[in-house]
Amino acid sequence: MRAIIIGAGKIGYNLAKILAKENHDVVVIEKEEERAKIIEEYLDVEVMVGNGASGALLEKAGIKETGLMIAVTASDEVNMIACMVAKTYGVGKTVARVRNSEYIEEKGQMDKALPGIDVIINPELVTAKEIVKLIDAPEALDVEYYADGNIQLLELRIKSEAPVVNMYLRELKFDYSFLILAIKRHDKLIIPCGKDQLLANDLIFLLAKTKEMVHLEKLFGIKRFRAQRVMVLGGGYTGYHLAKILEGRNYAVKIIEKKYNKCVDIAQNLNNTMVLYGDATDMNFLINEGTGNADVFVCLSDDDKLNLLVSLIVKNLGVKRTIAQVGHSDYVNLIENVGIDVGISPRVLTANEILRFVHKGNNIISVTLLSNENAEMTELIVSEKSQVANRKLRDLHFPSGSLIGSVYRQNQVIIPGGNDELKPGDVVTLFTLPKASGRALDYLTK
Amino acid sequence: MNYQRIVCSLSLILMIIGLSMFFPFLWSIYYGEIEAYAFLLCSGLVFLISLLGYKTTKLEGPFLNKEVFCIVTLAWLLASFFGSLPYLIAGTFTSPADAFFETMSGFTTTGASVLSDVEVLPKGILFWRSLTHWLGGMGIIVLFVALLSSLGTGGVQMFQAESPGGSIIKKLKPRISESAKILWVTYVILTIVETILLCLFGMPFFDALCHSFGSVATGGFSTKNASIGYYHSAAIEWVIIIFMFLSGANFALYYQGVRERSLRPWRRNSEFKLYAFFVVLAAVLLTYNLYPGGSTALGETIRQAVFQVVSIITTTGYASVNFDQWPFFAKTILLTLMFIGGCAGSTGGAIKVGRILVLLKQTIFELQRHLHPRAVFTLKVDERVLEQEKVMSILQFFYIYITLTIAGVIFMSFQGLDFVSAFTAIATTLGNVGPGLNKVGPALNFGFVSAAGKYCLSFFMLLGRLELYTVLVLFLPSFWRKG
Repeated sequence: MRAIIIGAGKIGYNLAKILAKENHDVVVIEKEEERAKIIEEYLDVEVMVGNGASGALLEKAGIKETGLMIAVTASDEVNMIACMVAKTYGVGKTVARVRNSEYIEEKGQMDKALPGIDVIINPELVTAKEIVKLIDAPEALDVEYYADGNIQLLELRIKSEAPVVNMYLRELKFDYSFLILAIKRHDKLIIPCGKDQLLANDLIFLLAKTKEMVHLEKLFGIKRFRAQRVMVLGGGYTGYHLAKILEGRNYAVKIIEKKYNKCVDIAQNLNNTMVLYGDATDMNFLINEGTGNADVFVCLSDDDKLNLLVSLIVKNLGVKRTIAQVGHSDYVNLIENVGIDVGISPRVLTANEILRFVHKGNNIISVTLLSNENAEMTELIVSEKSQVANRKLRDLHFPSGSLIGSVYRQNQVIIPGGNDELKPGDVVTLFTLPKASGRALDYLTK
Repeated sequence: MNYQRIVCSLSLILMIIGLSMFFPFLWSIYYGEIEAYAFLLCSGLVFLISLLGYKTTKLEGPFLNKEVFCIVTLAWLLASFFGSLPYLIAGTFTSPADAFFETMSGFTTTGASVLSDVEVLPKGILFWRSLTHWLGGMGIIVLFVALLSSLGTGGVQMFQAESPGGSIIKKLKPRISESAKILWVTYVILTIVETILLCLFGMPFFDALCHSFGSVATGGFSTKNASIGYYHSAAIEWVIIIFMFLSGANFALYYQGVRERSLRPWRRNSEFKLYAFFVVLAAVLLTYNLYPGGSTALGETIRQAVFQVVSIITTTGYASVNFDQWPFFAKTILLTLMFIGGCAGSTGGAIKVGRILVLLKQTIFELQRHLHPRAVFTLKVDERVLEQEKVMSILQFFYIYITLTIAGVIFMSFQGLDFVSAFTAIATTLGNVGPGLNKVGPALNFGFVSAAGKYCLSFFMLLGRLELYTVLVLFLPSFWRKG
């Protein structure tokens, strides 16, 4: 499929990289020559310089054969107009990044708000929603839901004192069905089998029924706690959206912001959140505000260094969980290694959100990127004509680097073993490493 | 200041007063009373004076702020002056102070009287007393603005000067004149419905009309000495309770409720919820305090408690029993309610629940600020942000209100009143309630107060009705300086 991406900023760059990897023909339109050159140098895509909302330029870029248009320039208006123009040329899917919430009327990022734009993505809102998921399950590094929320996938860290340390996977026999999709050890992702061992400090991707997860976590030596007090550094769009969602769920939220005008502005739009005017690097201020008693501290300033520093300070003061926003997505791993519990990259999240939509259709319900794009989780429906239908899992030959995580059949969740069959109409989650994803999907759908 | 504009506006407002004197004339004719001549005379006199003022001046150009304050305050003073003429000419009062007090009490919907026996008065006079309530309840200026759509921004200013607490009303319609019309129509409908209900429950038509005027305007003048207690009818008392309660709520809510066809505007309005809460709380406390025991007395006690609570909090001032004989606790609760008053945008007076709500919220913020010195607070009422200046203005209002009360009590005790009488006399006139306690209790009247005391209390009624600022700015020396 031909895809046009307008705007080669952080998100545009990421999307171009991923789409090119997936064998799409990607054209990137960027108005700054210098930025365009960088893209041309590093990625296998076609680059054009100019205004992406111009019909003439879009025609040159082959808009008539294009199936997908992603507009992610810094200007909301350009993004929206580009999508509308693209729609008049008959482009199948259009995505616009819109940051100003006045355009989307706080309905959420997936609303069809304007004609010609299939999906409006608001990066700040996407980030805020992701953080909310993490606060709801504060013990996890990543949380995803499948099958209408009945299946939960958590990324968890195995502690050195956990009862399962040094056990082989085949020895793990619990009353609840579960599946360890992958183990991440020293930044390498392993799809494990029975003879693999769990080591201290491993990150595991644990899939289970949502309502049984809490028992399983206990067996894996992970304590679940209910977060109540949340503190947020930075009163930008993300901080505001986050506080708005959290206060709606009865969390006690405090926001720290160092610009007074911004403080007043967000205080006017929030109801139960306490807005604090101050500098988060001021220890006395943090101690006075009872930072040590907070369950979760979220750093959302634009400065990665500040986020890192403040996260470490508050961790030292006794905050249970720290979540830091990282502008530079390459640092996410690093940041999680120096004692900050979760690093999140809005850039990656936004790209994920857009990819989720790009991949939608043809029986595919959703696609999630896990572990910093090193793995994918695809949720799809098994069709009647599929070669895997009505066959036992042990008789199937999935490409290596892929496995079926769960089956959702008539409101029943099955964590399948070798003897289970796939039936037409089942909703399955398919876990794949990037190199296997294309082949595994083909295998399932053919 | 442009005196032409002021005189012209005042003439037009007086014309309304002059024309309205024609209605008691008709009643007097109907009942064949000799006092009819007084109303015809006054009506003609006021009409001629206003016509003269109107013909010799021109209404043009935008109004200055100070002109607006001048017009509104003078309009109320002149209305009370000319409104008192029929009493004097008909011989109801011999002293101008009494007549002025009675008229001011009528227009400001206070309902405090200097008369010891109203049942002997001619019907025309009784009707004029109640009509002054009705005109003043929704506001003479609001009526003026509703009738004269050409006022433009001057209309907005005057509207706000007369009912500053009701700034929400402005949003009913883009044009202020339309908003004022909506308010008056709502007001008229409420009055008609109440009159019909009271007639159905056995009140004579004349009494029903006068009592409807009194309750919808939250005034308090009755045509009977024993007030509503005269009728000994539970049904009549409940009808009056309901309409007093409705008139103490924001009138804008009725328009919104009808437009949305639901009760949501009331459920969303935190001022109304607090108002209802106060009523329920006070009624429960009073019932507990007054309940003598036994099963038959319970309904009676509840009704008496609710009637007095609603009557006082809406600043109406009707009485179904002589609550001056109640225990101290019950009287203290009623005295507290005198300061609270109705909702903003209602016909009720006193401090008003909306201001109490802001004061409460600000108190919580102030306490929080001690715990969290760096927290930034914005005060919101129903999702709307209240600017710091408006909060300050409300805090200041409360301060002035209390200070004026103290000053008034000092003056009234100088006039020879005991503390309870002096205190409640001031609270009841500043809050536009009507009866006080002790010597000015519901069974007694203000007749014994000296002339100076009566003028002082009349002034307090005006201050309360125009919510302090509009009148007080006239006392600023710089107000009268040129340029």
